[in-house]
Amino acid sequence: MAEAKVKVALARDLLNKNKLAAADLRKGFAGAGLTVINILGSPGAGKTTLLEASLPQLCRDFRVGVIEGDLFTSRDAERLAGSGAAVVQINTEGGCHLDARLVGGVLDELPDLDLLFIENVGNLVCPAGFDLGEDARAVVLSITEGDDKPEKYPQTFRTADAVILNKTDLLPYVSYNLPDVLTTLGRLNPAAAVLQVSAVKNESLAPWLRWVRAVVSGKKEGSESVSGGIR
Amino acid sequence: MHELSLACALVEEVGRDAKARGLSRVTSIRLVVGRGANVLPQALESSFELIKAGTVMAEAQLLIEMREPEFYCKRCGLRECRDTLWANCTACGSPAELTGGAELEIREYEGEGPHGGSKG
Repeated sequence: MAEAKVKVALARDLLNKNKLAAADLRKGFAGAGLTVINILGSPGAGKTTLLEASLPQLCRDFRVGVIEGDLFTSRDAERLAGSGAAVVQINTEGGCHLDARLVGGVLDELPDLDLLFIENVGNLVCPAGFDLGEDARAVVLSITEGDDKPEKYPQTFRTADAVILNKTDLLPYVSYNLPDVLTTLGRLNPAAAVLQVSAVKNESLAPWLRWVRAVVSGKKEGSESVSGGIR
Repeated sequence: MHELSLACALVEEVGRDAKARGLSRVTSIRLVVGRGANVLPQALESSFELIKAGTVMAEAQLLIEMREPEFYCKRCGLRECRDTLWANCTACGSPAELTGGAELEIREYEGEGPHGGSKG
């Protein structure tokens, strides 16, 4: 039989499969009345420390869960073990980001919750492209990483609903142009909340906690996600 | 290095579509990649070369078309492409909104099969 040539105009998003899986997750989360916050940031930015500092307070008002994403070890899950939150660890064993399928695979291990944090793999590049069905995305950026990071990793900051500037207690000791960073963030993503905290000192957590509570109540009222920017 | 995950998604998406159409071979794939999509085209090409063996696209050529970020100015309505991910409008100077240039799209592919495939 003769082979015939064909041209197929597919016009399909390359991340189609992840987007469909994320849409399924989002529907499931909505049905369960669960608010989900995806936390991104470099290794060492303070993502786990921020959770350590805030979980005791959040656990008073909500049933909280955490999915910890790391290449290897359950160290972060162990750090959060006594926090009052239900914690599940995903090891990607080299994978640089979490995707919707990985998140969907561990949901059975969590009890009924009001609020779920997904701490993504420490990486300012890859996680930005993968929707996890979250209601909001928070990027933790620490002072010690340098003031050039928003310009160097624009997609991550562009897709954030909140940017948590962490380790502000170190501002007097490092060369860091804070006004410049705030200007860059304002240009990259004017809709994002910028919150300055020092998680390790338990300082200035109030605006962060307020933001988290606002995301939860926004979801309860059935409003659209607080998302801004291009995903 | 999420280009490998993207290459896997590419092989899966095109493979499924080609199978549904009854195609026996995929000869070329055209991708549109925005400069704001965090993707290095060379890494995507290398990843595709690594994983295409043994699939219907084993001999397929990957053609990547890069797309510049596109901006829209809400104040004066100017649309323009710029080599940056944030910009002020070149006409009136107000902050412009990024409206394109972050896409990752499998635009089209070419293949061969009996009668050009069942649906082709």
